[in-house]
Amino acid sequence: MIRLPWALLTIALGVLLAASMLAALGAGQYPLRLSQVLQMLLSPLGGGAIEAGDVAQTVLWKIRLPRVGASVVVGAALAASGVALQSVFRNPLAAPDLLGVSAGAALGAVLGIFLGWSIVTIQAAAFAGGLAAVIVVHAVGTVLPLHDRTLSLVLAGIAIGSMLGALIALVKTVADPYTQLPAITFWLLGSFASITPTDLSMLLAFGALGIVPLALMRWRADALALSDDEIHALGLRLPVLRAALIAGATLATSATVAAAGIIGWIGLVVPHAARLLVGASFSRVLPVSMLMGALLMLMIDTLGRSVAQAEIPPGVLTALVGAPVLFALMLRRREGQG
Amino acid sequence: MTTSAVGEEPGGRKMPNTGEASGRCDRSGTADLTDAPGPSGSRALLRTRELVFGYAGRGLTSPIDLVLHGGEIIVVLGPNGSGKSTFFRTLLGVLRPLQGSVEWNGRELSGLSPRDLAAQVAWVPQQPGAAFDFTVEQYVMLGRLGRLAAGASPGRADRDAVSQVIARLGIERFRERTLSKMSGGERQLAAIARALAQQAATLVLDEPTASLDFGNQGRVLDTLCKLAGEGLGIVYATHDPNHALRAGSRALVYLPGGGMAFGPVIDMLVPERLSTVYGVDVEAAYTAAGRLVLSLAPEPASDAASRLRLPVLRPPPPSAAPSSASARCRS
Repeated sequence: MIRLPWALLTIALGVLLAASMLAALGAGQYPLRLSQVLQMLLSPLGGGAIEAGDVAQTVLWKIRLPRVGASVVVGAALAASGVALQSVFRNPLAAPDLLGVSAGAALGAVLGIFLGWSIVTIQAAAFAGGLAAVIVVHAVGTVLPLHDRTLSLVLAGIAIGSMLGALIALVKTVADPYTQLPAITFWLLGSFASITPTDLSMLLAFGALGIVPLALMRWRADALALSDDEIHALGLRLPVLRAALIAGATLATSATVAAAGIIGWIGLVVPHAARLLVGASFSRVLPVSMLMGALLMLMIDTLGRSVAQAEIPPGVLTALVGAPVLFALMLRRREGQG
Repeated sequence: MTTSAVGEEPGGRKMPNTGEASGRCDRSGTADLTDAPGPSGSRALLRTRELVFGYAGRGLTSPIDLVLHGGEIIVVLGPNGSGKSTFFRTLLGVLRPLQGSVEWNGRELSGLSPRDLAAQVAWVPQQPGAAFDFTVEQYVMLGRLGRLAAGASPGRADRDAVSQVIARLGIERFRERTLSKMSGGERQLAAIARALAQQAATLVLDEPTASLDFGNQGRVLDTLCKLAGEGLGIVYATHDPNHALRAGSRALVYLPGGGMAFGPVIDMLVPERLSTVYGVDVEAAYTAAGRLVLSLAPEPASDAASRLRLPVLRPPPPSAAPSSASARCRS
C-alpha cells in the first residue's frame, strides 16, 4: 500500500480544498467569475456593507459563503468525530451515525424545535441527546453476550438508532402540521440550502469546541488501540481520555446535526480512506480526515445544487458515494492484510 | 550478564561445569532471599509484604512476600487459571490487594499516581497487539505517552528514546513495518521495545513466549537476559519451566491448594514440586553439555506409548557428565 508523505498530502489537500471553495463560491444559478469572487472576498469592505441591489454581493455573502462554509465545517466535523469514535471504541466501524449519536442529537434538536427553544438551547439539546445516545449504545453493546464486540456495538447502534427514530416520528405526529412539521421534516432530510450566517457561526463555534479536545488528545488517542490494562500501565487515565474524546466527537456531531440535519457515511468512510493513505496514527489521521471530509462534503453539496433543476439532498449523495467506497476500502484492506 | 559456573551453586547441588554458557542466563547465583540489598547494592525495585490478591474478596493464594532487585529475573509459574494474570494486575494497581502491600522502589502502590507508577514499571501483556495497524516506530512511541503533558507532541527526547530502544532490541529493520505484517516473535520484541521506551526500572511480562516458535522463544528469553544484565528488574510468567532455567534468578510457583513457593530457580524447579504443581510426572535430564532440562515423563506402561514404540534415550547420569572436550563436539 502506498503511504504518501503525510505533510505533503496535508498541504495538497489544503490547497485543493481552498481551490474547491473558490470554485464553489462561483458556481450556481447565478454564476460568479473567479475574479469577481476574489475581488469581493479581498475587498476591505468585507460583508459588512453590501450595497443595496448589488446581486453579486448578496449572493456571495448571504447565500454562497454560509453554504460553502457550512458544508466544509460539517464535513470536517463529521470526519473528525468518526476518527475519535473509532479510536475510543477500538473499532473501525464506529461512526457518529452508526453509534446513534446523530439520531440522539436529532431527537434533542427536534424536541427543541417542537418546544420553541432558542437556537443555543436547541444546540445544547442536540448535544445532550447525542451524548445520551452514545452512552446507552455503549452500555447495551457491552451487555450483549456476543463474542464479536464490533457486531454487538453495531447491533446496539442500529437498535437504539431506530428507537430514537421512532421517538422523532412521535414528536412529528404531535407537532403543529402548519408551522413546526415542515421545519422539522425539511431539516431532518439534511440540507445546506437554508443555512444562514448565524447558523454558520453557531456551527463554527460548537464544531471547533468539539474538535479542540480531539486535537489536544491527538497523540494520547493512539494509546486507545491498546487494552485497558496497558493504557493504565502507560500512565494514562483511561476514563479522562475516553470521556474527552466522546464528548468532543458528540459535540462536533451535534453541531452538524443542529445546522444541517443527519448526514451519514462521512464519519465512517473518510477516516477509513485517510488511514489507508497515512497509516494508523491519530495525529495524522485527524487532520487528513478533516480535510478529506470537508472536501467531500463540499463537492457533494456543490454537485447537489448544480447538476439538477431541483437540489439533491447531501445525504442522498453521501450514501450513494459512501456505500460503494466503503465496500471497496474493505475489500482492499482485506487484500492488503492477507 | 552473570553466567556463573553452575558447579558453584549455593544450594550445594552438584552439577557439571560446562565452562561455556553462551546465550544462557543462569542467574540463580545471585539469588538472595533476605532483605539485604540486591547485587547492585540498590534498594528493592519491587517488594510485596503479606500480599494476598484475588477477585471479589476471595484470595487466590497464601500471602506472598517477594523482593526484586535490579538485574534479577523472577519467573512466575503455575497451572492455567491459577491467577498469574491476577497477580500481575495487582502489581500494576489495576486490582487492589486484598491484604498486605505492594511497594515499587520503596513507595506504596496505592499512593502512586498512574504516571508515577508508569515510571516504575512497564507492562507487556500476553500476545500484544493494537486495534489499529501502527508501524513499529509509532507503536513504540506509545510507551512515551504517559510522560507527555496533555496536548503536547512528542519531542526530540521522545524520538531519541524510541530510536534507542528499537536499536537496543535489534529491530531497526522493522521500524517502518506495520504490526500486522510482523510475526508473533517480532511483535513481542516490538512490545518489549514499547515497554522499554517507558524507561521504567522494572519490566513485567505475561507469558512473553506463549504461542511463539522455538527460535522466537529463545530470542525473547535472550532479550530478557540481556536487559537484566543491563540492570533492569524483570518479572515474567511462563508455562515452560525450562525457560526459568534459561532466564531466571528466582521462581514464584503456585502450589495446588493456594500455597506459594518462592526461591532460587534451581531450588524451586525440582521435578517433585513441578509434578505436584502440574499434576503430571516431571523428570530432570541433562544435555550432553551438562545442562539441566525438565521434561514430561511418559506415562508408565501407557498403551499409547507402547503402541508408538517411543525410543527411550538413556542420558548419562550427572556424575558421568561428558568432559568439556566431548561437549564441544555437538555440531
